[in-house]
Amino acid sequence: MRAVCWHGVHDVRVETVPQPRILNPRDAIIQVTLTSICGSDLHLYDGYVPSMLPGDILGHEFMGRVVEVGGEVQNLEIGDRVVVPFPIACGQCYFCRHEMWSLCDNSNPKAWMAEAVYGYSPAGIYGYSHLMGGYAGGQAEYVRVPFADVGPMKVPEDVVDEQAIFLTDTLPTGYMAAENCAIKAGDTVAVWGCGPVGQFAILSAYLLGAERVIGIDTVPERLAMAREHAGAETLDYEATSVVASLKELTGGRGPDACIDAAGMEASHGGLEGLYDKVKQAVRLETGRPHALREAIQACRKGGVLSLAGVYGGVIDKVPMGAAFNKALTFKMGQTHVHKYLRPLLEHIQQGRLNPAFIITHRMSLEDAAQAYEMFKHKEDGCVKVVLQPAAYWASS
Amino acid sequence: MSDVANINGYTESQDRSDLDVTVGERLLTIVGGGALAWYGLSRRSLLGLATAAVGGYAIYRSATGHAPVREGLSLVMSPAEQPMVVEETITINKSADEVYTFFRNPENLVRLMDSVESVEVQGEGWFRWIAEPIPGAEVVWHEDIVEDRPGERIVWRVAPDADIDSHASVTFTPAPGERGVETRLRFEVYPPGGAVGAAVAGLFDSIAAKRVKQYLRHAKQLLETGEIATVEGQSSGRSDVEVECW
Ligand SMILES: NC(=O)c1ccc[n+]([C@@H]2O[C@H](COP(=O)([O-])OP(=O)(O)OC[C@H]3O[C@@H](n4cnc5c(N)ncnc54)[C@H](O)[C@@H]3O)[C@@H](O)[C@H]2O)c1
Ligand SMILES: [Zn+2]
Ligand SMILES: [Zn+2]
Repeated sequence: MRAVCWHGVHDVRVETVPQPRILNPRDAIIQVTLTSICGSDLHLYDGYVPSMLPGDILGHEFMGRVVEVGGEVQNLEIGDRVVVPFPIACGQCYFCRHEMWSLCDNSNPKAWMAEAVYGYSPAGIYGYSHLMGGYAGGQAEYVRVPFADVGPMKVPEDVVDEQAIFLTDTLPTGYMAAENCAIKAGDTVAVWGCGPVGQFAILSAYLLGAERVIGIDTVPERLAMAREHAGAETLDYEATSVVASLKELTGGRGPDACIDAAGMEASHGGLEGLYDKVKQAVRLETGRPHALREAIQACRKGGVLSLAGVYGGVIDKVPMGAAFNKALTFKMGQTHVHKYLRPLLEHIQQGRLNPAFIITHRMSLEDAAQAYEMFKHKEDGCVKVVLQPAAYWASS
Repeated sequence: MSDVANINGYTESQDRSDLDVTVGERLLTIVGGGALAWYGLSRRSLLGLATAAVGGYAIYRSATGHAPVREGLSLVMSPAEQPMVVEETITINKSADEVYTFFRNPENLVRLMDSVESVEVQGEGWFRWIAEPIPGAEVVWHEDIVEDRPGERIVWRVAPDADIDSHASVTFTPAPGERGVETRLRFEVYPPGGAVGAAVAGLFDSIAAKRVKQYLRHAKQLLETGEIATVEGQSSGRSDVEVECW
């Protein structure tokens, strides 16, 4: 089969690799009909997530049809059309039983590695480094899905692939980021990053009752999308002082909740940006937490800081004094996707959410290398790329 | 000589000049578990649980160069010759009786420990174990359950004719708030002196702890999910088989 393989920094190749097979009784094999590139994949592409090996198959946002099931999978049949949550979860451990699916105790075969780095191991994730289990990802024609009796959700035929695909990651990630803000009537939420996650965080904040949502980015078409599709007010962080503008926009109070949807590769001009770029390049820190620093500074007293953007290692100069003395609440983590699948599918079916608007590029899986470059550099107005394996590409 | 650590009866030293380093001990530090397996093979000795616990792994690590092999010999036995101990704990989301029943069945133990080939029940609580820590190097030993408290504890001990006395125990303690059972797996080895003693000691460093923790994880996965999570045999853009990186 054809698959997108990581070979090093800024080096992904579409290669012919062996067909996946069932390895455990609760596995299924899915033939991928649609997959996409996530902002998290850029952290791998740029080499900021350790423990990648050349040849690793990328991709954790994918959907498709069941073509094979293991002996213990009773809920799926050949031909079922499913979306697959990006964290791999067993459904039976303490964490799965308490809806903390991305913290599953049993799905990381290389848990010892994550334990050494993080103290305890989170769940395995498709195509997301050996620290997260070394699972082959779904930017491929076929993918092996462990615990297939727990993760995959069948999609009704009236919901098309482009509406369903983001249930695997981006949509629940934006939603959980907003839910973590514990929004109350009258609240203002500020969102750093108007990429796919930021767009969905803005929409979800409104859905959960926010009075105002302010989106922050510098890429014009992303800011335009945040205004026109998600209904946010926007700020360009290169053109204004974000902290001062937010204060001004909120009558001097500051946003009630702040969402970091930019993550460890946030950019920043000036000396601070240079400082972090250098430190990150020599791996003295593994993230450039500009959005996070700004969000802490901007947040109102007693407010909530919700992190959707991914951090992998250590970061520098986080204004802990501001966070502490303003008594902020921090919420974060890989998304507990399983928990949100059904409620969000319902939002889509009822027409309250139509996530397909973020798609700017539809390409063949064969063109993945070009797609990564374009998404990374935000060329050609790229906000989100979906990739179709050749068989489907030809037929549509 | 400066002691940097004194763990479980052996001393790790930074200054090697005043150590009594024999040729055999040096050999050991190069081949790690290999010396132990060789010893087990040539003497048909019954190294027992210690081999099962760590032998194959130490060999694998030193052969593949994935783990730092100690430079020269930095382990000496302290005169006290207390047992060397590896103990690890995991919480399993099941009842104490279920976890006990699982550990009491030797077939399950074979599934946990990847270097163990088979365990046969030989009546009267005796088990005959066969392990192959390196290809072709079969190690056979007998062991006995010396303590068996349903839902609480099991202790295994190798047969008295073994060259190296070792026990293993597993203890079950209910965790608070219905969080399952705290399951504590402990290996104790009473090493002889000399090269073999050092060989055994060499296996009981952090590598052993990691390995024992892995057995517990496998037990937890089998008990909670019915299978052991794996990526072995999956596809990739590499021609070689899946190996652990780092
Ligand atoms: N928590 C999870 O489970 C989860 C899931 C998916 C994605 N993520 C993470 O969410 C983040 C965003 O993902 P995405 O797919 O939207 O990626 P993306 O790269 O397309 O979006 C990031 C956006 O942040 C903007 N940005 C950069 N620096 C900024 C700054 N200083 N201030 C404001 N905005 C800034 C960029 O211009 C870009 O538009 C990534 O870190 C990704 O890893 C997390
Ligand atoms: Zn993602
Ligand atoms: Zn779980």
